[in-house]
Amino acid sequence: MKFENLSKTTIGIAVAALLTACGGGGGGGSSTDTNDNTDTGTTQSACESTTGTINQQALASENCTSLSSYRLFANDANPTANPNGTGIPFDLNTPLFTDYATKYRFVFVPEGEQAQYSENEAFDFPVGTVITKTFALPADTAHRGYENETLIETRLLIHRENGWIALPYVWNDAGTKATLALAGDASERSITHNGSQFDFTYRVPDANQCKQCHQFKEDSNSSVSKITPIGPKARSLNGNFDYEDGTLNQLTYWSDAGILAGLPADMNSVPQIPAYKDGDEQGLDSKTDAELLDLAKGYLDTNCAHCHRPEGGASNTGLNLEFWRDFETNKTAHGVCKRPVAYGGGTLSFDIVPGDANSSIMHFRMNSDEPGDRMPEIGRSLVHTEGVALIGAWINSLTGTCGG
Amino acid sequence: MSTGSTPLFRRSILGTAICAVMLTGCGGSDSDSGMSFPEGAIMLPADNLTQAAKEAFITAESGDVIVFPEGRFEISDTLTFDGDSDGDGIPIKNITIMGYGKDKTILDFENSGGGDGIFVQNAADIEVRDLAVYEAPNNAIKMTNTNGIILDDVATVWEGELNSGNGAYGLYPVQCQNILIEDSYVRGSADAGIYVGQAENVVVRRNIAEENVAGIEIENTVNADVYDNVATGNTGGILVFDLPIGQGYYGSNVRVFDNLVEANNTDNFANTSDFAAGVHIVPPGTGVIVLSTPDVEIYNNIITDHDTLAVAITSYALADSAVVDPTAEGFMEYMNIVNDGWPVVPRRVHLHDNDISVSGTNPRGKLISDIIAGYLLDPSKGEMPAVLYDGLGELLANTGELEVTLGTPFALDGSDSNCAANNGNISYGQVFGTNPEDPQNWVPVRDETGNVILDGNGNPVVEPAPRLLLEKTQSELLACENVPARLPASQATIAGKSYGCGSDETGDASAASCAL
Repeated sequence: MKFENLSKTTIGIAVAALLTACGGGGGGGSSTDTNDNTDTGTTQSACESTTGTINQQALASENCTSLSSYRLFANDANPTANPNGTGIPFDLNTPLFTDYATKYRFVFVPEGEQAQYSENEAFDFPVGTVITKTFALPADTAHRGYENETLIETRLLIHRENGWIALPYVWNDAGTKATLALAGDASERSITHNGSQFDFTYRVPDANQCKQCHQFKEDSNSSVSKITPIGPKARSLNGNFDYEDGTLNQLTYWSDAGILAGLPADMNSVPQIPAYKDGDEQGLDSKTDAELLDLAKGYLDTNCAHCHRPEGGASNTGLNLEFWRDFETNKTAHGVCKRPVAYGGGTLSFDIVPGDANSSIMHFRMNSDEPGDRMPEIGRSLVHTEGVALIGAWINSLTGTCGG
Repeated sequence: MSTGSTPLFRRSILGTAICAVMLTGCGGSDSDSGMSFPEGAIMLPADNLTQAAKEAFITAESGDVIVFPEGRFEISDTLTFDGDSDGDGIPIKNITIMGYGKDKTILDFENSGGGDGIFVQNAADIEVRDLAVYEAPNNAIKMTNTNGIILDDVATVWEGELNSGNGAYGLYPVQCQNILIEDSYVRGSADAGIYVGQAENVVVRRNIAEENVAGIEIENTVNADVYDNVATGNTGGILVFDLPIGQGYYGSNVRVFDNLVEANNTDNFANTSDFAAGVHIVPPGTGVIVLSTPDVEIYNNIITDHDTLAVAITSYALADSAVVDPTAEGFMEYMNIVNDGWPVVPRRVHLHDNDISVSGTNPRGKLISDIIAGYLLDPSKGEMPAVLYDGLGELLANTGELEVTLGTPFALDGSDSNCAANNGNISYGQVFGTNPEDPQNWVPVRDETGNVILDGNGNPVVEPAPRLLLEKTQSELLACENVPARLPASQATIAGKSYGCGSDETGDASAASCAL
C-alpha cells in the first residue's frame, strides 16, 4: 500500500478530470479501489477531532497536514518541550550527525502499554507509539537552545496497526506551524560552528528517503522491508538524561515510568555506546587504542549501521558496522582492507587502510560534502569534522597492511 | 476544503497536469510526440519537476503509469521510489515510470544534491522506459531489493570527456530478482554501464554499452543471459565477476552469446590506485573477462580488435594472493566468505564458437603488467595470447591443500574443467600449469640472501612457478576431450510474464540468438 488517503485524493482529482474531458467514459486506471472515500471533502477528518489530549484517532489513521493536529505538545509552536500525555524526552549517547542541528526527541508510548526491551535491535514498541524528532538550527552552535534556534523540521514515526509510518513536517519561517512535506524540502541555511560560518542547503528527506534509512529486511529472501525506528536501542539509550526531576539513566527511567518491559536487572549486561559529542575530538590524542575502537564503533553504529547491516539498505556493500559485531574477527566487514563493492574509490583502494586514514575510502567519503561521494549519502550537507576526526584517529591507530 | 484534513496534496500540481493532458486527447495519447499513454497516466508537469516526481513516486498506487514530460530538465535531488512507502508491508506493483523516448525525455542530475538519479527500493514489478538519466553524481538508475524489473529503451549518459568524476553505474539493479534490460544505451560510466549484481534471473539484450570502464558486468549473479548486445569503446567489454562480498549472493549459470564485443580499448579512467577493486582491475583493451564465476558459457560472440586480450578467465587468486596464502592476514576472513558460498576458482567455463580476431596489439594493464612483460620479452613468444587462463587457482586447488578457500581438486574426468573450442585461428595462453605433479609448475622459495628455504623435514618450500604458456594454435590449453554440457537458458518473470530464451515469449527480436 501507499499513502492511502493522499493518493486517493490525487487520483480522485484525476478521475474527475477524466470524467470532465471524456464525457464520463470509463474510470481511471487505478481508481477502482472500492474503499475509496468519495466524500472526503465533507466528512469530518480525524485530524480535526478534539477528543483527548493527544489526538490518538488521527495518529492511528491520518497523515494530517498540520503537525499541530496531533496535539503532541502543550505548545503547538514548540515541539522541543512539554510533551502531552505520556511523552518522555530522550537522547542518544552518540547521535547521528545532521548539519550541526540540535535534535529534540520524544517518545509517546500509549497509556498503560510498554515497549519490549531488545539487546541489539530497536525496542519493540506497541501500536500507537509515536516518536518525534525535531531538528533546529542555532545561529551559532556555541549557543544552542530553543530560544536561539530556528525550527526546521519535525519527523514523526507512528506505529500504526500495519506498521510504522514516517512523516516529515517542515516548519514555516516564523516557526509557528509545521506542515507535512512528503516530498521533502530544501532550504538555504547558515550556521556558525567553532567560529566558522557555513552556508549550505539543508535537505529534509522525502518520505521514501526516510525509509531508505528506516528500513529493516527481516528475511533476506523476502522483498518486504518494513519501516523501523533506529535510535531507541538499548546501547544508545543506556546513558544519563537530565529530567526535570533529576538526572537518571534513560533505560531505568523508562522502566520506572512503565513504558519499557524486560530491562535486565543487571545494567552491566546492557550494551552501551560510549558518548562522543562535539568537543570530544579535543581529547582523542589521549585515548587508548581500545577506547578509540569503542568510540569509533559507537559512532559508526549510529551514523552508518542502519544501512550498513545485512538487513539494511546498504546490504549489497558487504560493509557491516553494527556496534555488537566483533571487530577482531570481522575486520573485513568493518572495511579493513576491504575493496569497495559499490564505489569506484577515486584513487583509493580500500574502505580502511590500517594506519592511514587519508588513504581510506571510509574517511574520504565521510570527509566529503559532494553528492555521489559523501557518506551518509542523505541526511547531511556539511561534513561532521568531529566525526571525521574520530574515525581518522581510529583508523590511524590500526595496524596491518593490505595486500595486493 | 477545510484546513487540517486530507486531502494533503490539494495544492498539488499533479491534478492540473492530468487535466491538461486529458484535454489534449481522451485516449491519453499525445498527438505531437506520437507516444501514447494509458488512460489515467500521471503526467508530470515540466515546472517544478523534482517535487512533482517525488510526490508521484511517494503516492503511487499499483498500476500507476508516471510520465515525465518531453524535454531536458534539471533535477535537484535523487528521485527515490519505494514499493511500500507507508510501511504497511504490502508492496504496490506494476508501476511504470516513463518518458517520451530516451532521446526526448532527459533528466539531468548535473546539479542534483543527491548521489543517485533514480533510486528504486523494495518494489515489485516495476518498469522504467523511454527516458534518459544524464550526469548523475553517483549512479544513474539504481534499484535494490526489487523483484520484477524492466528497463526498456532507457539511456544513462555522462557526456563529454571520460574521467573519474563521472558516476559509477548506469543501469544498476543490485540484490534484485527477475530483471529484463533491453534496447538501452549506456555511456560514460566510471564503473559499469550496465551492472547487475547479487541478482537472480536476468536477461540483458540488445543494449549498447559504449565508452564505460566496464560495458556490461554481471556480478555475483545466478541465471543470467547476456545476448545480442554491443559493447564497444569500453575499458573491458563484458565482465562476469564473483567478488568476496560476504552477503550470501554468489554467481553461476551465466551465458554470454551473440554479442558484438569490439575495440574495448579505452584506458581505465576510473581508478588509478595500485590495489584497485572490482572493474578497476580490468586491463584496458579486454573483450570478455570471467573472474571466479563457475558455470559460464560464452559463445557465438564476435570479439575483435582488443589491445590486450580478447578473453580472460581467471581465479581471484590473481587479484589477491591472500586468498591462497594461509599466513596472510586476510586469509581467515576469505575462508569465512568461501563458507558463505563464494567461488574463488572458476570452473566449467565454456568458451566456444566465437569469432575472435585481432588481439594483443598494444597490451597494457597494471594488474597483469608482469604477465604482459613475460610474454612480450620472451623471444620464443613475443606476443600476448588472445585467450588467457590464469591456471593458478586450478593448480592450487589440485594440490588439495587449500580446499578451505579453493574447493576440491578439479575432477579427474574433466567435468570441472574450463574449456575452449572453435574460436577462430587464435592463440591461447595460460599463466600457470594446472598439474601439481609436474615439477615445472613449482619453484623453490628463497630467502633474502638467495638461499632456498627448507621446511621442517628438510624439503624445499615451493610456490607456483609462472609458466606463461602460449599456443599460437590451440593444442592442449583449455582443450577438453568431452564437450561440456550446454547451460540452461535463463528467463526473467515480471508481472506474470516471462522474457528471455528460457521462456515461451513470442515475438522477441532476439529470438535468433536463443537458437544458437
